[in-house]
Amino acid sequence: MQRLKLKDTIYTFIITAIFDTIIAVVLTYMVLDGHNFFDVFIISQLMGLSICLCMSYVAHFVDGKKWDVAGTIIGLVVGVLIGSLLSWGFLSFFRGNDFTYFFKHVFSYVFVFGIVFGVPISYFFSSREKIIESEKQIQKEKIKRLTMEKEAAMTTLRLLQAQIEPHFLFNTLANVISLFDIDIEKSRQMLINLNEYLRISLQRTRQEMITLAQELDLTRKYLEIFKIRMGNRLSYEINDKTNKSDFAFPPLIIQPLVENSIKYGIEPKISGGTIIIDCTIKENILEIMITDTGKGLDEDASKAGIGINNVSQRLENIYGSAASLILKQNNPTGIKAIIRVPL
Amino acid sequence: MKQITAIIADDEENLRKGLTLLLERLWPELKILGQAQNGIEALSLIEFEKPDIAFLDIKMPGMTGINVAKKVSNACKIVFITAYDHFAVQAFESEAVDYILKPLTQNRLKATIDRLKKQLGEQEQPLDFDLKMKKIIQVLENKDVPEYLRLIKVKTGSDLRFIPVSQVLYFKAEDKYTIVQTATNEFLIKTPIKDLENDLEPKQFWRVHRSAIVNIEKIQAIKRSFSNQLIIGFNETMHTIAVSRSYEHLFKQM
Repeated sequence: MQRLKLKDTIYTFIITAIFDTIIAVVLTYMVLDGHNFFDVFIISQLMGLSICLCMSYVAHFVDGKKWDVAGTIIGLVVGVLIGSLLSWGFLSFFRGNDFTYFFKHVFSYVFVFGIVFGVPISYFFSSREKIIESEKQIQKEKIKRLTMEKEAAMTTLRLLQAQIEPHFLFNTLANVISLFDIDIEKSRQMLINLNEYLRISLQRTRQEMITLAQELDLTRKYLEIFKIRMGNRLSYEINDKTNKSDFAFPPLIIQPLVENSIKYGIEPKISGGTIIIDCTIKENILEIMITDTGKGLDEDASKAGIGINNVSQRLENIYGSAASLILKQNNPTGIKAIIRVPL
Repeated sequence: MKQITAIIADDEENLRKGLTLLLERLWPELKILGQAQNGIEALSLIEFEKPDIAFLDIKMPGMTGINVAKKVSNACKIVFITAYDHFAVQAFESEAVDYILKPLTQNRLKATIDRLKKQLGEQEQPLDFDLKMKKIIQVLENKDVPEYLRLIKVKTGSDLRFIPVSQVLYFKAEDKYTIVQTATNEFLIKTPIKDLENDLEPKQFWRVHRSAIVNIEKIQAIKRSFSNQLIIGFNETMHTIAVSRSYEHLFKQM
């Protein structure tokens, strides 16, 4: 930061020197008929650089917006006076002019030209500085905001991961209790599935990566619970053709999509439907296709896919643009979700 | 005394059976006329059998229990069954309409049965019941209003695709269409930008121009152009969107 400021200041001084040289050339050849270029050049530099110095100094201390204009004017006037004084020093030392001569023949010119050129130049610098400042400010604020947002998102994510949908939990427990009287074996099976589903769900909330096999396992438990609940309204298939059970895979990618398929596709459809999960590897890309024959997404349901946006965001956080999630309408009915992640 | 009758509607068979068994145990005189596994069946069963009581699950395919209750024309006591819905329970309690929670417990069901017996003994004004029901329906329907758009429906060739809004960089008006820009694709939809603005989560999607809405989570950099205009750049792409003067304050007061 300090270094950048120093660099900026040096840059300002160099530009000022170039301006001064141009002014000296213009004055010498257009106003003073080409005489004394060296003297005019020296005086011009002394004036310009002292104005520049004073203004930088003032700018360093006067930071508040209120003082901007006043500070600029004070810096300019003091700079012109110091520049004039130095110019006199130069003329009296090297050219032997005394103070009266200087005051009569040189000072008025120098002062007027100082102001005339100083005003637009200082305006140029101050506005340039302001733009740089506001850009830095925007960048800074943005970084701050993004950091905060990221933290907030991480917290929400952890909460979401830890959260087990109450509807799911209570409906499943209601089934278990009803099954006590109807089919004790099914009831036992359901409790085992629920137990394992909960165990993996709670575990995976603390892990960044699990394996594909684990995620499929969890999804199978989830589907098995729904299979008992929905009876023959639901059928499902999981086809893992990857032969890579230890492949590292983020949690909460497949199951939320299956959850969506059941919740918005199959449960609301009177005849129910089928869910098929296919996992294949093609050219170092793992492709997971989740197809359901449910109701599909109508206009209203397009506001319901909260899980889908979560999955999409998670894939992007983990794999960047190398992963993708595509949702399509399945023919003749339902939704097809295609996840692609690099191996 | 006339025998009291009931029907049970729930899309999950185990729960229908479970409730039937519990009712047989706790209220043996009650005659269960039939079971329905979706809202449409429930409605025709009620219309056909004319039971005194209908146990209705709220979340059913075809038609929700609430809508079945709304459409029932004969005088029939409704008991709603719901899993976990703080909101619905509040609505029921405030209007004193009966409901039971899943998982069912004997004690809770017993209380409901006692209340039903008492109500059937008296003669409640049907008008009063209608009024209560209307209030509940209002509460529940308001709750069901979806919040924000999460998927954008687009056509690509013969395919219909759904784009998660989190993938969208920006929406931009172009003639009669709106461009939906993602990192890899561009889609055209017919929804005007004005309508989109109302449907999108305002904390995430900002209107920055008369013709543009940006996803602020996808912003990579904001720069000033030579003409002193703010320009937004997006992650991993060359796409940019200009911020019009009247929206610049959005980025200054952060």
